[in-house]
Amino acid sequence: MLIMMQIEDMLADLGCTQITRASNVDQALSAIGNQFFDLATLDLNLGGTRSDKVADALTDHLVPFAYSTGYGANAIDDGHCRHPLLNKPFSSANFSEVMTKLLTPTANKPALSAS
Amino acid sequence: MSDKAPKDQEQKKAEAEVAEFKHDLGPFVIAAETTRMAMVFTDACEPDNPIIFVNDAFLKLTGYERDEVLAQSFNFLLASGTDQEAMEQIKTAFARHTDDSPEIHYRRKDGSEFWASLFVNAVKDDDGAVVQHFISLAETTRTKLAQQNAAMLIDELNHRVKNTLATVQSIVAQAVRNNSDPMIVRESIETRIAALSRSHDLLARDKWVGAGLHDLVDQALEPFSVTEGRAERFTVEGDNVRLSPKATLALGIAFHELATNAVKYGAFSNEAGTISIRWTIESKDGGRWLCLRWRESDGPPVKAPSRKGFGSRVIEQGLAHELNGKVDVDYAPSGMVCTLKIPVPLAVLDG
Repeated sequence: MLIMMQIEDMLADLGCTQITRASNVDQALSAIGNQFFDLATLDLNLGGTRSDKVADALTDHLVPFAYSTGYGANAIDDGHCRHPLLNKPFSSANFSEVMTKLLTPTANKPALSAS
Repeated sequence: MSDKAPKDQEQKKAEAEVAEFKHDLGPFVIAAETTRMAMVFTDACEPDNPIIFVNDAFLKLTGYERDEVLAQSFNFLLASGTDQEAMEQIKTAFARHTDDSPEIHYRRKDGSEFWASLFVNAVKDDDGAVVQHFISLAETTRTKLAQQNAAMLIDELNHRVKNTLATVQSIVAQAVRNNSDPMIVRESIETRIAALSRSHDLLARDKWVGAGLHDLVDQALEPFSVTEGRAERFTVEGDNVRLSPKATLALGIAFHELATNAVKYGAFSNEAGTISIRWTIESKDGGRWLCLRWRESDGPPVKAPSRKGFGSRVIEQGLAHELNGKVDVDYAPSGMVCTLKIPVPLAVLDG
């Protein structure tokens, strides 16, 4: 809960104006189906379920995303290991660097944060 | 297990040799037959090390009858017949007779599995040629499972520590963001970390399976009630419903923020105010809900805050999101009322 709040603050600090939260796989899939996102941060574990389906949906919708996890790189599915990893706890500088990489220079659209 | 191989002359001969040394070495054979350590002799002159003797402990360990194992290859018990690594380890143990004792995964007749360490020794004839192998098996299943469990616990512990550090990081970031006075920053960090720590204590009591809601409320409010004799100004009513660890941590912080707010601005900021915390499990809208009401009375007249601080954000946004519930905060002039409605399957373990 507090980690999610911090990610929101970090996104807001980077100039993100609209943030959608999802705390489980269904909420995330529904948000991805209904909105356009510039980027997403995705926890490996969403409400006790692995978030692989969300990673697939983000990939299908061409939404760039980074994983945030306390499990480390080994826990990520081979199909999604090319996505950047934010190892908890991550610094604002690290977060900013990863998000900047994900963002296209011209975009100023909303973000999805699933954790 | 494959069909029992027909005994050829060689196998019969080898078994006859065993019968012979049984006769010659009486007391040692009795020891091998009666020990609780599983023991096997195999014939080194035939391919695949066929079994020519097993003791009762071996039969007890594997669940087979003696005539089902004699003449079988020594490897017929492997849990996976294609376990190349195990076969290689066994081959090395047979070839080198070192002090190594490979730990091998085996399957009993009834399909259940076990782990055993193998100790392989060569039996040589008068010319020094290896004619048999003597193998003892020490079962290590319990140790193996304990090792696997320990490895899993370390992974999980690491994950929780990382999450806890990230939570503490968020507490620090929020405190710095919302206050400019270093003393206030310090106090808000310290009290929130203490609240987090109390929730951990409560979860540790029951091996992180969950915690009781009544216990959680009592524990969260304890630092607020011990000072200035406020204990009698709390009314807490509700069953000790079992909360998931996630709900325990989220509600632990939420109660801390509500109580902090009450001390600063609400019912505990004067001498007369009281706080009532009541909850029930209700069935409606096709689901079951934990409905909790935090109601403050007799405090100073309430005004809605001009600025949403960390506490309001935790309660009004964070908590609702985290537990997929509904949170309503009413800044009524007579006293603040916070109503939580949380779906039971997410937050309550056996409600």
